[in-house]
Amino acid sequence: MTADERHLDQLARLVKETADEEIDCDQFLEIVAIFLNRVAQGLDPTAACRALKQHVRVCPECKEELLAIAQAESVDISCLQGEI
Amino acid sequence: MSGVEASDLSNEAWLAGLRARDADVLDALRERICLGLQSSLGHRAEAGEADLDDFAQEAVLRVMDKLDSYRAEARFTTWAMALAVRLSLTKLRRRSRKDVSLDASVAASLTDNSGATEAATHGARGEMFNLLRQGVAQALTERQRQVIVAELDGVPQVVLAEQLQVSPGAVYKTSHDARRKLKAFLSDAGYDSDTVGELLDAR
Ligand SMILES: [Zn+2]
Repeated sequence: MTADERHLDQLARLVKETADEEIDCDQFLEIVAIFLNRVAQGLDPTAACRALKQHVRVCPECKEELLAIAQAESVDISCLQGEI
Repeated sequence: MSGVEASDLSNEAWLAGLRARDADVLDALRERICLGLQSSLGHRAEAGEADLDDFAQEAVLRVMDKLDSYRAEARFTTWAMALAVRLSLTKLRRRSRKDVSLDASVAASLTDNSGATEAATHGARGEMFNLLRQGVAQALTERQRQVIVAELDGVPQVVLAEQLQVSPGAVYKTSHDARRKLKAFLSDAGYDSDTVGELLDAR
């Protein structure tokens, strides 16, 4: 892939994952701990969990934070593969 | 070594101890955050041990500041760690990219229509990319284009927000508005999300 194509590919993926209603990065921070605790306990995802997963698909910085918090708290999030 | 074992504390005990400014509980929180940061960020070349100590110290203050916003559905330590990671990564991102001199090649990738030849090479996928370029050129405001280009260029949101003199939340909203416009632009031309996904996966 050329650099041009890489940028367009990246943008197309972001556009594809875009939802009409999205939580922002502050809202992500408000619910990420609840989300990780639910994942750790194997509980069903709530609407807020779904909104968080959508957010990290369009926000690389919050995805980076989610991975770091999970690592710090030893929460196995491999079950989320393909979803985030 | 702190007199309080972090793993022994319940959410309520953390809250009570911190509200009372119990020195042992404050110490246990700092230690706990420090260990978490070492485990999650310690492998990064740009995050030295002294940095992580400083971040942990500052994170304790942030936690104290935000105690009233803690919601009991989360484990207290996970909530505190989330604040600590946000604080630490924001500092590292700021440090990594102090100015927002955008990579001209990203802007060119997104707006230059000479990519028409690529469309011929890559068929439907190339056509979709050309349409996306058109969308960036025609459907977005100058500010939306600027934010999208910066994001693809890897400019941290916090750095871009400071440069544009708006909040990071405002940057996110601009990006979201831009993505929604591009999604509608593609959809109007017959490229819904499923079609875009299929084209992206078909290499
Ligand atoms: Zn975010």
